[in-house]
Amino acid sequence: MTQKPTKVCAFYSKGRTYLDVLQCVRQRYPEAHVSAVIPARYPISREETALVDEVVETERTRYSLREIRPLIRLVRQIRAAHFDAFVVMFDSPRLRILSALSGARQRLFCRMDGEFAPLHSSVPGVMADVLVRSIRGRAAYAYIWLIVRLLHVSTTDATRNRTSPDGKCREADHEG
Amino acid sequence: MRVAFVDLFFSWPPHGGADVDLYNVALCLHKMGYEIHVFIAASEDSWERGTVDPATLPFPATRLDFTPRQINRYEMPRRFRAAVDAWKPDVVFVCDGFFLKPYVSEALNHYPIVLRYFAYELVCPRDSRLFLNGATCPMNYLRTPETCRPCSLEGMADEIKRWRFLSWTQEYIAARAFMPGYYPLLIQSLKHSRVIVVSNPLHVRQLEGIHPDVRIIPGGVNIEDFSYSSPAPKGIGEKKIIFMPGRVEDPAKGMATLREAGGRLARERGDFEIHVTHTDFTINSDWLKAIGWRKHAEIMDLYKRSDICVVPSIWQEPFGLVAVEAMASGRPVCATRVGGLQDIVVHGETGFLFDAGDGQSLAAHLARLLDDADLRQRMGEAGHKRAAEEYDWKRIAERYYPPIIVELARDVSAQNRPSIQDPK
Repeated sequence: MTQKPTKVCAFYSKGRTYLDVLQCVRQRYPEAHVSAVIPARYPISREETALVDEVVETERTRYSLREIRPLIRLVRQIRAAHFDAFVVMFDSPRLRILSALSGARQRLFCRMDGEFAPLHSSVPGVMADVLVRSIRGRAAYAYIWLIVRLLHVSTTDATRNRTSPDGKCREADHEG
Repeated sequence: MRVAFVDLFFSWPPHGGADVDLYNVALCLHKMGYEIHVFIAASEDSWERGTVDPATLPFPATRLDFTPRQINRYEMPRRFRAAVDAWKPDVVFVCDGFFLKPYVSEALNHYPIVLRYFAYELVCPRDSRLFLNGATCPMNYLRTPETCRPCSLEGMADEIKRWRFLSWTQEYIAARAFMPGYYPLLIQSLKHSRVIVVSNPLHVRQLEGIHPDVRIIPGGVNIEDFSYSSPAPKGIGEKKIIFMPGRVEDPAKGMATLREAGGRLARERGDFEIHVTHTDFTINSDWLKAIGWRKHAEIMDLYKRSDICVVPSIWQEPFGLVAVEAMASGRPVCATRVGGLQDIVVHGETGFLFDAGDGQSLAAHLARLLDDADLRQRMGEAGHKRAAEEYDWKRIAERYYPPIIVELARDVSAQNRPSIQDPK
């Protein structure tokens, strides 16, 4: 049987509202030590603070792949905390990679309906998925581009005779 | 009278104004004695579609679950038709949906159909905003499809190339909306509908000559959720709060105008703070605070803690729900003279209107409100009164919906048309 996580990270990102996610995390792990990992300068509210045991600020408010050193420091900061479970607010390739690098046994994202979905991917798995999607997407884009450029729409028949007898649209109930 | 609502995206708790609209209209009509049933599309793959347990809703609803592969122009109309036919409504409202909506409404065209549009999805297939390069786009897909088709593809290019998309692009692909055949289908679905409901006069003008019966129905609030309270008196040195809620990261929402106005004010005074629901905390300064995305309950509290609300949108807001919420909370609203906002805010009475992008004018209005507590209170009270009289869901449902339902049902019986025709 899987051991219950005792140390849980709720990693702030775009997605649902943070308070929602913290409520879901606390409900799922009522006994665990929950750490809210938030970007620098995030104005964490009283309600949010009340749901966690610890608030950890990251070095930066935003991270970019163009600046790799701060990202490495972020990963080190997360790994050093030895979380058992790592919860993110959105499912994206970047957050999947971060989850995979977190070192946590359980990696989850909190869905809009409040349920948790596992993030099993490894770093190579995420990168392979991105590559396959990119090839498929570019092929689809080229196909659609050709259709849009080469096949034209005829408007003459489509929009004829759509007006009322007086030739105007009805604009009733307009007081609101 | 049996009224069906079909929605390709409904979620509760809501993800947006369209969900709030359907929920409240359905609930009010249900309470008014109409037999109503809401049919909802859901997909586990998409957080945007049907995140709701129908058993928790206060009106009858059926959720149709689709796998990602089933979200296409064949399966979705077929399933909705089977479900709606089994219930036998007198009138069908087809609510939120993007590129698959014409297929679904065509599958149901043996009923009197009312098509509800919440944004500009009908005339702007790029992103339903009718907003391009920082200004309102003059094009209209219904009249200029050859200009709009490449533009819409360009708008979705990034998502398509990454093959990772939100529902808008997902439906664009699933409906094959890039094919020339999509346009006549859309026109046909409009032609087969009996009434089209939109949110503002601009949208009505766009449909002139396309459909003979286009009506405006505004959105609303549950006024009992908004108890009016005047702002708490400020202590010495305590700053007044100017609040901008909504998706402020979207440039169309006009936060740049508010920042310009804030900068002008900050050079002259230090008695205010601007709070915005932004997630980039690097923008924070002495007078500007990003507070992140917040739950609706938190937003309600933030309205009460604020002194003035600002809605500086530079796109043609289809409605402007945050302005109504702020008014219902008893706060004066400074809003731009665009879209539905200009009908909501009464200039000089419930707040001030200014031209889109005019930071100087906004700064002047804010300075006047910051200086005059009585004016803030007067405008707040007038706003609350206007919200209660014009934008309470109960009143909106009573005023706008029964005429449509009765009219359509009467037309059907006058034509001696059976409620359900043989599909073949």
